[in-house]
Amino acid sequence: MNTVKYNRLPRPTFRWMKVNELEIDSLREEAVQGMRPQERHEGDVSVTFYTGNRITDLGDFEGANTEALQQTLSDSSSGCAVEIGPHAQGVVWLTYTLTETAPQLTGQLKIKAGAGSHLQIFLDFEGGAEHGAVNLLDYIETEEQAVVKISKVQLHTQNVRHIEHRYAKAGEKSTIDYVTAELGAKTAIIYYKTDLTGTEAVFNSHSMYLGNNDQIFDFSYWVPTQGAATNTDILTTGALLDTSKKYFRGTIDFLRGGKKAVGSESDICILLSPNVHSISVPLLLCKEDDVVGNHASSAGQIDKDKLFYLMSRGFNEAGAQLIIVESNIRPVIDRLGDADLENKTLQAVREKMQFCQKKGDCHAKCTQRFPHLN
Amino acid sequence: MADEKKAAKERETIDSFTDFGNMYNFKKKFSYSYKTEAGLTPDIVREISEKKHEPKWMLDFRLKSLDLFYKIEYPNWAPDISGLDMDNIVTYVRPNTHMKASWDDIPDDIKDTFDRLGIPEAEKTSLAGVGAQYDSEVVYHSIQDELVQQGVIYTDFDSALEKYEDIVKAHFMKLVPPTDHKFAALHGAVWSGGSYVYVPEGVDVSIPLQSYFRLNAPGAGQFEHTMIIVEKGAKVHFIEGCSAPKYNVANLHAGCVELFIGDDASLTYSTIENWSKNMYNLNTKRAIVGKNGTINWVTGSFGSHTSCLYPMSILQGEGAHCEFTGVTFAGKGQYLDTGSKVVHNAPHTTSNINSKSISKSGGVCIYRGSVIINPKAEGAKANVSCESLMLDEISQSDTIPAIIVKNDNIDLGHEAKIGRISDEAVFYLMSRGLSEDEARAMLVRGFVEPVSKALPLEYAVEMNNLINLELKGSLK
Repeated sequence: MNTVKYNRLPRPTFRWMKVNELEIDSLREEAVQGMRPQERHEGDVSVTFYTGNRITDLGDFEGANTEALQQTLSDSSSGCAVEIGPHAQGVVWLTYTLTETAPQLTGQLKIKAGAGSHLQIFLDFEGGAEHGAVNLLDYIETEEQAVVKISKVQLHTQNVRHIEHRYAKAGEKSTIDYVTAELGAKTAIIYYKTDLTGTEAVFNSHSMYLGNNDQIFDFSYWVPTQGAATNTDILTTGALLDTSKKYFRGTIDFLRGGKKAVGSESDICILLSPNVHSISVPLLLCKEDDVVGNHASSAGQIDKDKLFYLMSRGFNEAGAQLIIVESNIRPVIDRLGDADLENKTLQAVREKMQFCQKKGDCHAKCTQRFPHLN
Repeated sequence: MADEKKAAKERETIDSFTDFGNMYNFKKKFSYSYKTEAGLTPDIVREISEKKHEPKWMLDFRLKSLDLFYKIEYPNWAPDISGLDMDNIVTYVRPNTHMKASWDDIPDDIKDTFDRLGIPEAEKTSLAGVGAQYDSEVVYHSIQDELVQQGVIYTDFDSALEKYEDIVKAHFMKLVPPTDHKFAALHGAVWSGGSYVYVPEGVDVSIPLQSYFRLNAPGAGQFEHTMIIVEKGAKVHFIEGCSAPKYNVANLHAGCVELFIGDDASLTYSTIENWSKNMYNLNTKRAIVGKNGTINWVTGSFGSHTSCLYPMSILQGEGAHCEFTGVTFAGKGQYLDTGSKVVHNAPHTTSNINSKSISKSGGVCIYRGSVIINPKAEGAKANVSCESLMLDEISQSDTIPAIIVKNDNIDLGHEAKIGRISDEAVFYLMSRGLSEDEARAMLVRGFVEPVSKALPLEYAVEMNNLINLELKGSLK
């Protein structure tokens, strides 16, 4: 079987550690069906669907993998353009569903936000198929003082490879805000590059994951800060069960001239099984002295004192574990901003933690038992 | 009265470390009793081995290593070393003397070199043993009789190979095999000089040992091999110093340090490195630590044009511990890629990495580290802290850590910070009567205090003076 490399570090390190990229078996390609996501929107926003390529201004962006990125440009069968004019407000919901008849998706999502606009996009990925795959390129361009927030929930079945290339260019005083819940797919590979070229541009990314079985989550960030007084905040938090693996590769690249920039990246991982792997490579590259850069990562089991306290209050061990894991990831889920997506995510978390055995009524039961979590 | 005398003596010792302007960058006439041709060929390797009257297994080892050097590629992540042309490097220079046990027997020019570096004076006041290497060979070695009587061995590596061949053969380049990387292979092929330390079970060497490496020859390489074996329950502090005068041609240092630390044993390995700014310092250091043993690295990296140095600790026995405290200071034209590697292989092992870096005048500091917690390391704890200080807007400071966790019963924390000297702190100190330069210098010294605190007094003074020298005129 041939292998493919994804999410290469912009500055590689020791080869023997095998952390410079993710190398996995290549995927069998299925005939790509044209797929139009379910869509609804509110406010003054335009949503159009297209085939072919409408993204031309990627610069030196290489995506998670150059070949996969090239496919989204040359073989896209599912293009969606979202545009919002100056000072307008809008909300868009897009649901991509994989099925046995449409097992693979290669597509584009092009977002353009006018000056002073406020755009919220909810992305919901669900379903699955044998050899299922998603290969999606997101392109975001924001003008002055625009705010674009993308909330994503990914709940594919565990036979899907989910790849997302996320490229954004942030204009002056604009904000790009990603909130991501990754729970599904066999392998989820997310590559972010955000060019903070504008003065006071802001990039926030808050991601949560919960891995079980042999799932792999690979988060890669590269944020070059060229503009003055930019702000970067990256948080990845989650838990691993069974033999699942998580990779975090974060690079905040303070370029010369980007004075007064502030950047921080955090990677927090709760280890719930003896055979999980947590790999963390948080880079700070700095060519500018007048900046503040921080990174932090931590990994470990559930704090036994917390567990003991909760069990002394009448929770069984599974319930106590669930509360602690949820308390870790809940701040990200709460930021999703859509009640349905938040509940759907919480239900998936509880199912994975095997607190509720019966799929379907899990949420109702948990809500009944832990009303304070709702 | 005795206290006053002691204080005066200490003051004198400290003062002897203060003339830094001339302390390292002075040249002696390049003289030698023998040297190989520049370049690297099997014949040159044979020549080195023959001159040293080595056993055949060592010659075979050298030739195999040379073969590996040709085959192994230089890594894609490492700094640019295009200014280093191996065809122009002389790999072996034998000075005009054999090893002596008295400074009086050493030729004047060499003795004067070490006098100016303060080594004989330090030997009298604060060291239990001294080794001094000049170019490719050790010229002086001594150890206190008291330690010899306790079974401690501290000698040059050539003597060790002759006298303790079986032990050397069993350990030589076993921790750092020539297959490890290109310059480990080079070391295996052309190593010369270095120190061998053996501390028997239960012996506590309370006063440090020091080896000093001086490279005087222009366009030459230094490839010393240091091996330290600390038996069960023993304890020792080893200090390594290195320097060279500056030339217009590239010099190369590709030494190798192998440390074997037994159960309940403890080794502190301190380095003050101040190679000249034409030096490519591609050094490899590695320790393996037994049950409840401790390796304590204290490192100050100031010199060289380009450095790749990542002391590695393999925590092999249950409860083994590693402590790394390092400071790197890169000035104009320097690219110092340094850090630390730790591998947790056994239960309840612990590690604590504390790294500081300062870059100024266009210097580049890279912290590159790794922590690996393997499946058997149940209950392991690791903590990594990296702090970088940028003193101007033309310098560069990068932090490249990598952490791999392969079992759930661990506790790992990592944090890093990059920034410049806080204006508020400068303002506060200035409001207390300090000038701006003094305030900034004080903050820089405070920044590196965890490292200087871990060094013996004389070396802490040396390090602080090096920092003062580096900072001169740069704090604006």
